[in-house]
Amino acid sequence: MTAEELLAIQGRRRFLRDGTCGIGTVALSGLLAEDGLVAGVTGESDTFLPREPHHAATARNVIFLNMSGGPSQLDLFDPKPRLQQLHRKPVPASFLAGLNDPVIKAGATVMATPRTFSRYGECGMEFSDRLPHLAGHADDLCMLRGMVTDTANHHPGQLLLNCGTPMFGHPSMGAWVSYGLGSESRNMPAFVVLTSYSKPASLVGPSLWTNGFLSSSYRGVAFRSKGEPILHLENPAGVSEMFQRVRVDTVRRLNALRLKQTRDHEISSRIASYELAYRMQAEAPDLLDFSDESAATLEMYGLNDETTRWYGTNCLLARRMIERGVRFVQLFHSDWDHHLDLDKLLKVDCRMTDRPAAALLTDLKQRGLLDDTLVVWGGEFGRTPMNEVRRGNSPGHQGRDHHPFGFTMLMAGGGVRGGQVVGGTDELGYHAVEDRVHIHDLQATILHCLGLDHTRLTYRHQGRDFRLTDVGGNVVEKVLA
Amino acid sequence: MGRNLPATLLWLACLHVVGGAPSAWADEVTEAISAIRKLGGSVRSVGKEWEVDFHLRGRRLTDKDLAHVAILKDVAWLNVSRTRITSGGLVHLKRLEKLRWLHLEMTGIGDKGMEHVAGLPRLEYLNLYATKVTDKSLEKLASCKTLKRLFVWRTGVTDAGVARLRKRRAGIRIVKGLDLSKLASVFPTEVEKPKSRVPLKWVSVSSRDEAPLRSENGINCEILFENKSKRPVKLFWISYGKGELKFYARLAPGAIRKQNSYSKNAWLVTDDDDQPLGYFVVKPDDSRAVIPGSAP
Repeated sequence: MTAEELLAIQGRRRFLRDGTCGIGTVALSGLLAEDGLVAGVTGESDTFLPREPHHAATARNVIFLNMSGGPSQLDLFDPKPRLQQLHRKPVPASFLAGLNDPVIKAGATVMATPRTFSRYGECGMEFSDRLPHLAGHADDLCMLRGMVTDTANHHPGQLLLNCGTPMFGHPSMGAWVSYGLGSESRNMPAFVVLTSYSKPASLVGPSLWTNGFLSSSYRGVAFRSKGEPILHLENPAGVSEMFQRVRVDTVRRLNALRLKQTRDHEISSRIASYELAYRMQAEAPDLLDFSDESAATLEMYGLNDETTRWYGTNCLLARRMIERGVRFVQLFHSDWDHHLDLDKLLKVDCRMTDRPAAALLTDLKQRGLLDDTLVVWGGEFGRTPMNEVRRGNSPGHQGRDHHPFGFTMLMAGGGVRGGQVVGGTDELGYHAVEDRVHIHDLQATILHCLGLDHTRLTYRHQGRDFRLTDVGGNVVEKVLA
Repeated sequence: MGRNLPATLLWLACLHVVGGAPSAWADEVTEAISAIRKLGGSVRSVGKEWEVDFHLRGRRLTDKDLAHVAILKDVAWLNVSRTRITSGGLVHLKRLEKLRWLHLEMTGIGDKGMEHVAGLPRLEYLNLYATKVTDKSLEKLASCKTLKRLFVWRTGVTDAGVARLRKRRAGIRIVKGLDLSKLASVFPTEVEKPKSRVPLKWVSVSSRDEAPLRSENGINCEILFENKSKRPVKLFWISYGKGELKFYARLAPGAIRKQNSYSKNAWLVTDDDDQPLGYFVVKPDDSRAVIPGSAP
């Protein structure tokens, strides 16, 4: 940073003048010396130039099927015959030794799964009968049965999964990836978020796709989940294409002037957003127009069926986005938080998502895209081997509580060896005992597939280097092809 | 942070001066990178190799433009899908001896020139989906010893062609797409069994006072309301505590409605003018509540 720049940033008058957002801008001043953005005030931000990864990548894109709320691994992925034997009996004391978690109600009794499990694929991976379509991809999927997390409530759990810490204000995985690799598409955002069936109570919301302390250019762009996915793609009546271009250019020049005066990094983000919005007017209608998809494809994604249409549309959009250079697509589906009436409600979520998610894998596979696209399926934690009796639920209507000590996630595609189960839980499904994979390990592995070393993808903020995996994380070698 | 392109060019310049590398070659590479960028392509350096993409912004790429890529030589990844290249451009690929990953899908290429692709000594991934290739291409590709993954969905390739290649080269994973009609038959659609439901007792009333004062708390269950009367009725839940009437639904003659409720809750049924007709008290099980035909 030159003395002149320093003056521009720290000028007392400027601090007072911009007092309303003063603290934020002061915090941002730390960004300015990075990556030569200040020097090149040309109006076009270079925050999105494709950047060199740390090592050769096995995945170019990520589609993260985020199943928020905590899907029950014991009724979907992790069969435990012992639960059948201990049904309605107290949990053996040995499993509870040393546990100190207020959310786990140790007094609850064991609950067997009402589902039946079968083996699928050449690898013989077990799935319950709730996910027959996804099970058809057993040979493509790597099932992580030894997942653990640090927290047993939704908001901290989801923040940990998405941002690497249970605290607010840290960049999300998609933002870190955009920061690390830039964007290959000039016409679409690098990081897009799609939601379905979401109930706000158990979903944190935009903090899960925030840029945190990174430049706001890296924030996930959330498409609307109902109605038109993107508003105002058409110019208003009377505004010609040329007028729009001239307008965007003028605003850019004014913003560039302001950027020169203030050196505020957020102004370059603003410039980039205007430019991106302008370019999206050209690219997005093509993205959203499914008329070039075959009838068989639409049928496969479940777009003709009321139950699957919402999630199917999001899955199809996800494929079309990665084809157009969106690097990180995250689909949030909630609510999997089945405290009561688990069997009935699990069926609802499975029927909404199973067929579309499987169709996505099929479609990526036949287009040769699954080899460079990483697909992840999972939520912030799992559910207890015990039942949960809440006020007002009767026999046959029990659910399961939040469970952070052992749960299941799925990975497939770019660089992942399919057809294998990594890790496992004890005979009750209580604790992950074999190849435990912490959320930070999962994040390190995802970044690794994208060609990024999670210990080197850092950002200096408030005097220290931050990273997605905080001070933890090991790449799970067994997952890799 | 990783270096971006300008940094890479700087590195090349250093190599030029300090390392004593052949300067003409460095110049040529720098020019080729500029030309690729000008066409809308992107170039990334990964280790000592290059990754080149045209599929996002460089879709106007034509056969002759591929010459710029050939100059880079050490290209490990090339994506020219959805561009305007044809078989005529494939000749430029033969210099790319380090190419491992090649996206040619959704282009105008056909069987001609496939020998240049088959001759690539390190090629592992080849995507030909939605092109005009046929079994002839597969015959040529059989000589590509390193090939591991091949995509030929929506092409002229036949099952017999795939079978012949599989026989010669068992190590190649060939994806010809999936027969969707077969997929559907593997998973028959689940048929929902009708639930067994206990009947709830209908109690006729003519005023609010005759119905229960309030609902009591109980356990969760589901009611199936059926309006068998000849006129529309309104459904009110009698609240806990003060016993207020909370409107839930209007049922047309013959209509049914699934309603979540709790045992010991009370539901009041009225006509369109809010005149009470009768009530139900919920049992601790899934139940059926029939508004009788003789009621109105």
